[in-house]
Amino acid sequence: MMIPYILLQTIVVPVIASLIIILTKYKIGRKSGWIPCITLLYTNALLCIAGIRVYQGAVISEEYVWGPYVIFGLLADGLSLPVALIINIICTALAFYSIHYVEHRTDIIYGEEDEKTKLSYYTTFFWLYLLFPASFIGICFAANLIVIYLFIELMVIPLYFIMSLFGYIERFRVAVMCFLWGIVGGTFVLFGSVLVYSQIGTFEISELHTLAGNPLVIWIALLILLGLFTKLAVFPLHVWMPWVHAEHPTCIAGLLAIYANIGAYVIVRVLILPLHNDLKIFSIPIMIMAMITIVYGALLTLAQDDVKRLCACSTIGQISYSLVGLGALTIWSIEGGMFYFLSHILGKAILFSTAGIVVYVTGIRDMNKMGGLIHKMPIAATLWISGSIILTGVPLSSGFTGKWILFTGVFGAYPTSFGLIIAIIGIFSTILTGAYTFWAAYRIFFKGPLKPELLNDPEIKDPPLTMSIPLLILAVISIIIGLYPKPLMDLFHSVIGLL
Amino acid sequence: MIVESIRPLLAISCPFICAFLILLFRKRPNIRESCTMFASILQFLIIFSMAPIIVEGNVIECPLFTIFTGLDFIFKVDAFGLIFAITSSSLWILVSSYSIGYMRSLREHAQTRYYACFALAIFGAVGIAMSKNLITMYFFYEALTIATYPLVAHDGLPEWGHKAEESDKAREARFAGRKYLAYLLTSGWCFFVAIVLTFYLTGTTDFENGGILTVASASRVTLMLLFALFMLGSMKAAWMPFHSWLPTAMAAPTPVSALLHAVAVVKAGVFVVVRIVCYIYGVDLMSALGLGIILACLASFTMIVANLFAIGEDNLKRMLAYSTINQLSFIILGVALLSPMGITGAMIHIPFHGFMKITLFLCAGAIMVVTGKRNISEMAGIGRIMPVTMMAFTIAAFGMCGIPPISGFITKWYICLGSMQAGVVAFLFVAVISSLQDVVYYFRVIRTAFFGKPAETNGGSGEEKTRNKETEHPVYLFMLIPLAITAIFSIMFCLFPHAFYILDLAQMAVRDLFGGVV
Repeated sequence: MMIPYILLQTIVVPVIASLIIILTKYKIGRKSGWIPCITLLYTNALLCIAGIRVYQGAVISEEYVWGPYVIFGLLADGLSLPVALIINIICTALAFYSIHYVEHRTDIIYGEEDEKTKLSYYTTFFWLYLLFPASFIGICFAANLIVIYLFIELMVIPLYFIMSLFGYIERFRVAVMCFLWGIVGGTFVLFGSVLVYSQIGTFEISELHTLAGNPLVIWIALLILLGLFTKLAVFPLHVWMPWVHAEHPTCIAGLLAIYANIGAYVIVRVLILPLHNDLKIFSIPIMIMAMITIVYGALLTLAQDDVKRLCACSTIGQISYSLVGLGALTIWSIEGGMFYFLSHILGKAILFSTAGIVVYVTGIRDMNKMGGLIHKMPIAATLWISGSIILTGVPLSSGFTGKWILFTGVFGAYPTSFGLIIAIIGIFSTILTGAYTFWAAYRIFFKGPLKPELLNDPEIKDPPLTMSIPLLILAVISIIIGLYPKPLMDLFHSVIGLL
Repeated sequence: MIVESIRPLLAISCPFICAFLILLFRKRPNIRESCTMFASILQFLIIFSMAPIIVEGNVIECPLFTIFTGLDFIFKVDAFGLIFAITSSSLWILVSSYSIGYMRSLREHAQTRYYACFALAIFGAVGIAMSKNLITMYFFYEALTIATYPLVAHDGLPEWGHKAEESDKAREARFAGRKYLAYLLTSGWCFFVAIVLTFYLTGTTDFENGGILTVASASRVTLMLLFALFMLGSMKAAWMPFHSWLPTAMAAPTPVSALLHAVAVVKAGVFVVVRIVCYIYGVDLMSALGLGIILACLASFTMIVANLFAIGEDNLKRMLAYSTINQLSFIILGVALLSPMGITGAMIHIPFHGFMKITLFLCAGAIMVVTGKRNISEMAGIGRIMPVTMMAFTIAAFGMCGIPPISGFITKWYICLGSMQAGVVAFLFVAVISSLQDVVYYFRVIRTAFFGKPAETNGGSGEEKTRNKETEHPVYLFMLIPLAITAIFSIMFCLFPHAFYILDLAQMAVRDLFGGVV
């Protein structure tokens, strides 16, 4: 089945849908929450069709001329397609999740306004929301540096607006903070890209390999890495993460995990694949930084009392697992890093959204004031525990498979002793992951009997099905790719295996 | 010859399905308990039906599924695995019966959770016994740890939806549970690191006769480090100085202690040690690296020191815990000698020690239920009140000391022979000294129980006190029968060590290990 412009559609259709919401917001009113869901289901179908073709060995590429120097090229191969598909599935799930959440959030923030203004805020969220999948998929499929830069900047914009319109506590300050960090990170990538152009006269990623051996390649790599490390929240560039990730409306939590973690994909695509040998000099520093971040992030998380802060800080450490794999620069470790990236965003979307459910239902964020909620919210507890299982890497979940592939690769990177030490520290720090996720589960859902004021509140019950079922589906997907990673790994291997 | 069969899968799913049935019938105690009994008997029959096939020299395999290169889930039953499987499944029948008596007469809370977790723990233990490779084993190893936690912390965890108790006992139980988890999860992670490293070095994690690592696989230091990681990973074997979780875990109900000490947990630990020494490293590599001697020294140290602790202990259950630490290291010593006789002794000591130690624990629990006493110094004259129980205790205690005709004698005989065969007589002395220590503390109990004078309290009815109290408790028969059976088995294994094919299986396993020359 040939669908015209299949890759372009996956990016443009959400943008068009977002325009439709802007134009018709008072007409369709509350129903506009369903438009992103339908749109994303459609793009999911497109990606699945493209996925089948790629799995059969095809490489789909499309080119659209765009200005004098730049060709707007899109490329779907074994690396970009699975990443795009999983990201799009998460976006779809969270779109369903948002419908009730945003209604609740606008009622809280703009409760005093009249109905029309509330409606306007409500619809604003959804048209902004659709820009996220468009920019994520854009980054995945982009075939040249400028397009990647464009989408990296694009994803900061909806984040800024959603943050300042629907965030928590000091939302305007935090929104500016995330905007600045986002733009600075993007700018470094732009510097790197321009430097590339000055050397080889093109922005095409497929031509980047001609840079190999060039004396400037270290500086280019350094600039791009620096830009992406701010996205990846590597210590000491993680400052924005606990703030931004904790104070945004929880329905985009999973998207923010993707926003941060997609840098790992860009590193693989732009630096590791074409410039593998020149990057070896960065290998050990990257691994050490990632290790520090993992341990630091885990300790930071253990210290949190606020349930949203907890999830936010955990992202810092989890992202760096992928980075350890990328830093080791062996085929298995890179594939493992990408696999872990997907596993983490699935797990984090579940965990964070469940934290959102808890806050949505009880209105409390301090875990010390919770406890015993499982008797009222069994589904939420199940979701939290499944999220914990995925992040910790309990056997048979995707996290376990990811870590297995990742650390087998890391052992191979420096057989003498260095790789050994890094891998051992890395696997040990998963204990900390287990500790903070399951300890939090204990504090929220199990510890002691329910507080009387929560016990007698009839509002405290499991959330509506549109919030829980999408998350359950994500958990099932995680288990499927954990138990049967072969198709995914085959796809990755068709690209990364060529190293 | 490799026989493909789904019997291992059936045997493992027995307790797994049973756990769900127990949860399903939580409102009906009688049906719930019959599920446990039925599943345990069924499991034993399935496992035992594999024995004739294995004794003929076959190996049963049951491939389940493959996740990724290296992540294969395969069951394989060989002679050594079957010994452990037979031990834990046969003891499960007895402990279930005992649990019914114990839990009902003490009116314990949360019995459903107790039986369900017990079944899951057996699931873990039998899974470990039947794994073909380290990865499968790791999965069941962690399952065992997690399933046992609610059992260890039983007194401290409230029934579903109730408020946690704040008594000292409850707090102690929660502490024991936390300590247990902290030690064993850390150990599990070490084990996982070791597995990944092994896989990286050799490209496989299967257990093979003669080992999969060779001198050429990695540098000497790496191999030593890897072995240290494996040993840290088998902290379940409670070797010193990582033993303290085991005496602390005595806060649990007595049948749980029996599970920890005889049926599943610590046995899984030594089972893993034997698997690693014989099937991952292999005897040749162990002696080439000099790891055998190091391990034997570690085991000897643990044996002597644990026994010193036991001599100084007044709480009967804690004393038994230290005795277990000693006996586990005796098994490790047997393996570390790297001689055929020593390994045979170590392998058969797993079931034999299981039967003896379970008798001791069941007796300790029975004493607690009937008289409420926990300390040895209070037990004067208890042999007159509970003659059958204390007879069983005496038999098992003799076995621990290695006195014929109890099964402990056979293993001591084999391991002493093993140390001669290995040419290290020093360890013979270690075995002898630790047996003497055993005598010191076990005879103290026996003397107090039979010959000590009961303390005169609240005057008068001395006659009534010495009456045979065993028949008074109606549910007590559930407890008495299992401990009598295990005591009888302990004698029987000495007179007929080929019962249940145990000695045959061990000899076969050792013959395969040493390439048919023994």
